[in-house]
Amino acid sequence: MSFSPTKPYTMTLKNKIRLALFSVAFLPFIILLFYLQNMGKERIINESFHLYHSQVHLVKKTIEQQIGSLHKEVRFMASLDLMNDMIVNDVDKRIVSLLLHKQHDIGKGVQLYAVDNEMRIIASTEKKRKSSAYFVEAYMLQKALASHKKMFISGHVLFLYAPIQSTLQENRQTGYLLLAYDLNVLQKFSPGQRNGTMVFYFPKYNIHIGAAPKNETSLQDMPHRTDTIGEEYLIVNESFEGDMPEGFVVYFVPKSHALAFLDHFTYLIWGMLGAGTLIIALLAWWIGKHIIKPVEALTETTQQIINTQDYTTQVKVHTEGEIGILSRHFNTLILTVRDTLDALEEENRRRLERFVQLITIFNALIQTETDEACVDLAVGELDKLIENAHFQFSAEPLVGTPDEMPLFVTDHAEGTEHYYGKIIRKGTPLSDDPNEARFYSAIASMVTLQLERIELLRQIRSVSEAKSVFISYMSHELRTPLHAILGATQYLIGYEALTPEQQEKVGKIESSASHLLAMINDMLDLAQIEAGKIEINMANYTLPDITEKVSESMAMVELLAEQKGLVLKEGTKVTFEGTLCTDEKYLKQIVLNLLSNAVKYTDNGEITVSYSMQEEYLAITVSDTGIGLSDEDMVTVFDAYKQIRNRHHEQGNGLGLAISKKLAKLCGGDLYLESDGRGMGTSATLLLPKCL
Amino acid sequence: MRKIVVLIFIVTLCMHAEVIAVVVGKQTPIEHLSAHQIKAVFLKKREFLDGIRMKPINLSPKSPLRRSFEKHLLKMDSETLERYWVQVHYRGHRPPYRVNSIESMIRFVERVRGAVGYLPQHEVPKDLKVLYRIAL
Repeated sequence: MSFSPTKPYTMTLKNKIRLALFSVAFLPFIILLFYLQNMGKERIINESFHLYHSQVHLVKKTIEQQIGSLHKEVRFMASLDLMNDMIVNDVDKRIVSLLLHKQHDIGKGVQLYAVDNEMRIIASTEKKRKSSAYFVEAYMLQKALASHKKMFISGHVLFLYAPIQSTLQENRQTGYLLLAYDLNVLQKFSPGQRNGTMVFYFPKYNIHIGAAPKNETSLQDMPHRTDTIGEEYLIVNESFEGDMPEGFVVYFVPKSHALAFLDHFTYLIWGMLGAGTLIIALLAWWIGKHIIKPVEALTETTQQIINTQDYTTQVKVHTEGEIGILSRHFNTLILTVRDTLDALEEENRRRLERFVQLITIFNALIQTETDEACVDLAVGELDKLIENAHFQFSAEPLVGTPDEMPLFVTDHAEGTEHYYGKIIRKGTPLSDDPNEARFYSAIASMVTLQLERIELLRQIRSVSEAKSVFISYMSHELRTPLHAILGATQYLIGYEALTPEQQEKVGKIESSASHLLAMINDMLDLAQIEAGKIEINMANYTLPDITEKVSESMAMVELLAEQKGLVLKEGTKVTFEGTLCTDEKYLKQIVLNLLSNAVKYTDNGEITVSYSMQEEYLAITVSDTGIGLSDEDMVTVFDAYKQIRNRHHEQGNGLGLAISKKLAKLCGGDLYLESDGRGMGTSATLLLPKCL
Repeated sequence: MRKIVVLIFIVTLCMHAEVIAVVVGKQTPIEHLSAHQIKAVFLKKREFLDGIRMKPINLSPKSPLRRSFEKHLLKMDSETLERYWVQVHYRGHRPPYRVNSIESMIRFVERVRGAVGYLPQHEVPKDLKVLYRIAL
């Protein structure tokens, strides 16, 4: 017997707690990781973009400011009175010294040029340059002038320029002051290699200052002014504004650097996750050992109790707290259950005993055959059954105390009820329990019933006996005049003087009288059987003995069968080595009765007598092809005094089968008929018992 | 004639008798200038002469020629002039354009219409018009 859970996936408490612990511990980690991997990353990237963008913006602004201030300087210098010296080709070298001075102020990265309208260099910071040489970038300058640009780039040099106007010549333009700014200097604005690479890109001039990282989107393909994420870099983009030539500051920040914080944090989380797993595993193990173990012990004990039904088992209490209390309560409960079960068992046993006693009493009561025996037995048994009381029968009238058990007996023949007597209970008074009163009432009813039964049996027996005696006497009384009639008519049949008509009439009287005699004989037989007045002489016979008797009976009806043109034959046979018990005389009578019935109710065809063994019996079956029996016929065929009235012209009073069946039963066998219905023939089977 | 001029030049050199010539370029269509007019131009009191915007050119303050010019023509010493320029500065006037060398002076006068400069007599090129001479 197994009480294992029927659900296949029922989780144990231990695993549930572990799962809960794991869930509670891991959920924040998972959420954090998920956040970091998704929204967090995006946000951090956005933040990074924002940060780097502002860095780049700052760089850009700084550059713009510097260039702007340089340009302002150039314009300022160009507007100086001193520039009137352009007119005299800077004879005093004052412009040169101014330019050199400015170059010194600004830094070595710049060169300054003053050129006249014919693009001759009047003054410059380049030492080697011969005076009155032509300005190399004159074409670019003129192009810039034509397109109204205030700066232009040539090579890696950014030129800022301002026209020089002579205050002495009604602001006539005397030339241009140019500042050459080496764009490579821009690199000093880029914030260190560690953080990433900054590239200054001027697409129109195809110049980039600083090297873009390899394997990254080429500068030309890059969508400008948008920030993009490359394979390894975050690319931040900012374009120059104002007077600056079209250009961009592109900042390549390695992802490893930009997302370093995220990565470090993720590593930290993973690390914490690992450590958390270890801690939780240890914790779960500890819980399994110290918290769940008592629960498991409890569970095991309960399982054991369920399996063995042994309610003496107790849970060992190891721990305090809820589980300890639970265990103790469980033990108490088990004890209570055990006591209750014991009490129930005892009670049950007692009740069963009482029940058996009652059955015994009832059985004994039923066996009694006289009123006195019945009442004595009831009183005696009650005395034995009820320990603290004494019982006594009294025929005195009732006085109305609860200790009396009145016995009222009904006479079913008369339909009246009369007081027979009472059983008086002496000793301890009756308890309030209605069941006890009911018990005594039931005993009284039982005694009353048995008394009634005894009375009924007595009446029935006397009636039956009277009937049998009446029939016997009547039969004898009827037979005496009938014999006289038969004797007289048989004498008349032999009387010669009678005319054939008279003889025929006398013959009818004789046959009617014979039939009447047969009927009376049958009635007498039946009455004798019913009254138990026939003697059965049981003896042992072998099978051949039986078949011989049957054959003798067959020989007796052979003539009748031949007269009706019927075939009488033996059917299947059987071999049997043992002995059979029967009465030879009644066997022949029964078989003869069956055969004569078969002949009587069959107009054509055949009658077969066959043998077979049916368990403890030899079956002799007489089958015919006659009128057969309907289901209704089958019910009434064995009833005495009933005849199937389909062949009223045939002789027979219907007592034959009833007598045969009674005789067969008296001989320890049986008789039954089988038929497939009207016109389908009948087979009658007689069972003879084997000898024990 | 030429010999006479050279002779005079040599004589003046020998005499230390220096002559300062006030000059304009050929493109400046002015033929005469009085000492008063020159002073007015150099002190920026007069801007136009005969419809021409006048642009006085000065030498550097440390130049002895300028000091002589100021002393003899403007009749003002350095401190007086400085005070003067500070005063007129608030009326929007600025001192004349200053050059560092005689050569520069010559080139300005040559190239700028309305430019007025002063040179030692012996350094005046042929193509400059001497409008006034200051004998020391």
